[in-house]
Parts: sequence; C-alpha cells; structure tokens
Amino acid sequence: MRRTELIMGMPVTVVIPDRERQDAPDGLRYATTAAAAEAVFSYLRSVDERFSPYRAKSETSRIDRGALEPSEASAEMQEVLRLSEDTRQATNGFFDVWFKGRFDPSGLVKGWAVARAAKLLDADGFISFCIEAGGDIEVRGANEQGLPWAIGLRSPTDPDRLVRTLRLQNRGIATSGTYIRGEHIYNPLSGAPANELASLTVVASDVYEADRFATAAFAMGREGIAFLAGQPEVEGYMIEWTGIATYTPGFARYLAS
Amino acid sequence: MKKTVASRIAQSVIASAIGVGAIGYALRAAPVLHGLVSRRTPLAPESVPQGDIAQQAFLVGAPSAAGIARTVSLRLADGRFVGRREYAFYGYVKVQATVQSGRLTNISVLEYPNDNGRSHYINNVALPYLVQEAVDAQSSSVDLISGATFTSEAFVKSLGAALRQAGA
Repeated sequence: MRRTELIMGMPVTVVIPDRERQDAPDGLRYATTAAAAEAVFSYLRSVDERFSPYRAKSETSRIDRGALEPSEASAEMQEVLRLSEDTRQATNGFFDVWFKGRFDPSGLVKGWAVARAAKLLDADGFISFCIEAGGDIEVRGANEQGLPWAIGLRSPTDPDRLVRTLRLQNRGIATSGTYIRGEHIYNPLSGAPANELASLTVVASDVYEADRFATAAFAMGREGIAFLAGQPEVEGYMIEWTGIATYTPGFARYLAS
Repeated sequence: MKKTVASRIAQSVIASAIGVGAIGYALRAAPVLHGLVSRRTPLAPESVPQGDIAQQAFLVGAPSAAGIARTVSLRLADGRFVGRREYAFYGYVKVQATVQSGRLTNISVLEYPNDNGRSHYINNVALPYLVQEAVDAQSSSVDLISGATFTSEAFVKSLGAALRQAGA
C-alpha cells in the first residue's frame, strides 16, 4: 500500500507492506493499511494547522507577530519550543528557530511530526512502514520484499537522478540542501546564507534526530560533516557543488550502491 | 556543461582528497575508499632510511578511469616516516607511520586541526575519519527518495516524481 498526499506544502508518502494487515487480529485501531495511512495524513494536517508559518491563524504565525506568548501556547508548541532550545544548545547555536527576530520552527517541526506520526503506527502494532515528508523519511522494518528499505539520495544538481542508494531499517533520514545556491537555510550566527554545500543527508535513530542535525550541520557549511562525525549515532553524507561527496565512517554501512 | 563539471571534479579530487586521505590513513592501516577518490598522500621522506621506498609504498591505488580503488600490496622499509603537513579543509594534519618487519604497525597523529578558529567543532571529538568520493548520477529502483525540501521548479519536479510513484 502506497499513498501520497500534499500536506504542509509538500508531498507526503506512506508505504506499508500489505502483509502488515493480512491475518491481523481483531481490535486494532486501523483495520487496513489504507486506514493507517489516512491516520498519518490526518495527524500531519493537524500539525500543519498549528505550526505552519504560512497560515495567519497558526500558533507559529501568532507567536511570530507577538500575538501569542510562547508560554501560553499549546502543549505541542511547548514541546517544540523545548526541543528547539535543546537543539540550539546541542548545535552551538547553529540551529535556532528565532532568526532576525522572526519565529520559524519549520526546521524542526517536519522531522518531529513525522516521528510522532510513526508512533501512531507503532502503537497499533505496525512493524514495517515508511513515512516520507518532503524527502525526510522514517524507515521501519522491511519493505514489501522483506528487504531493508531502498532509499535513494537525490542528486542536488539533477533532481531526477540519484547519486546513491541506501539500505535502511529502523532509521530516520533527512536531507538539507538548496537547488539554488544561497537559498533556504541561513547561518544564524552570521546571518549569511549557508551556500557552501549542495546537500547534506543525515541518517540517525529516527527522522526527528536526522532532520534537526541535517538542518544545523548544513548551516555550518563544510564543517558540518566533522560536527556530525562527533555525534553518537548520527551519520552524514555531504555533497559539495564541486560534485565531491564526503561522508562519516559509519555512513558506509548504509551504502548499497 | 558536463565537461566543465567533470574537470572541476577531477581537480577537486586531486586538491581536496589529499588531506582527508591523510586522516583516513591515520586511523586505518588498510584503508578502503569508495568511488573515484583513492589517491593517498605519499608520506614524504623526512626520515626515510632507504631512499624513496616509503613514497612508492604509500601510493596505494592511483585514481583510475573506472573509478575503482586498486589495492597494491605493500613492501615497506622499516623505520618511522613523518608525513607532509596536509590541508584537511578544516585545518592541517600530519602523521607519523611506524614500520616494523616490513609491516605498518602504528600510525600516530602529530598534528590535527585543533588550534584553528574554524575548527572548534572537532576539538573534543576523535579525529574524524571522513571518506570522500566523486558523486555520479545513477538510476536505480528504490522505495523512496531522500532529498532537500524543494521550492519552485525543483518542487514541481519532485512532486511529479512522487505522484508517478504513487500511481505505481
């Protein structure tokens, strides 16, 4: 079962092997794989309502324009704010949801939300599935063929092509990058666009960890890969505009081709 | 266009792989590299007892057109050999190799980036052994694709690809 919907301004795909709901016992919350996928989409739509910086009524927008005190925000926003502060400290300031006076937790919310959506499926007994949102993926168990999931790394210079295939089980993967130099991610310490790297992919214990470390390490430029090499259970694959890739030693175990 | 990119890759392989190669060597006596980048830093004969044997020995796997790292069996002269100070893109690296009975028995790192303002992130971590390779587009059957979050044209391309997969 594979379904894609456009949520949070990006394609979200859920893949669940059919065997996950064959001979399933009664009493499960999601009787079919399609129902489970719909639950994931529904949850992510609710996250979009609350956290989107593009919706005037979202908590993110209200905090950004000073109409909502962070301390009076929802429990979910409180959690995101707490995780943001943790991440800011873990990355020596390279990850910051406050940039030039504006509030935007998008760099953390996507991975966090996908990881939370995965927990919905965990709680209903699903062993194998993938949830992908805009290129960030939570990978569980094995694919339809019973093999580790094959995850392609998109070429930063040619979005129709892959540069590598990874084999993953029970991991999160996230890629930060720009398709136009200088866009999208800024170094919060200098305010300058982070444009040395074409893309930076991180594999970690889950997609939340992968997403936040990918965002922060990308903002560090070429030093990001060395930063990742010093993080336990976090591996990185960096591609520069020159076409040279550099990866941490532990990343090699995920490389299939 | 393709040619320009290819030549830039080749230059970069020569120029930037050297420092990282030195790091790889520092931590692995029998290094294996993926892809095109297989050039090693020859350990310069600062204290070479027998001519340039060490230099030959450490040229493991010159870049090949096929992009496959070649393995060369080593015949080493006994002694201690100090490598050149090499730029490793966040500082300098210098290593010393010890050879006994023709085999590499120890490599110590004499210098690594820890006093450069740009390299503060690796102060407190083990010297990272990073691997480099030239990326080359491939087509392959995969379950899903990881890529950056897209804007504009790239986003539309991605969405098209996602929807094509969704229809499969």
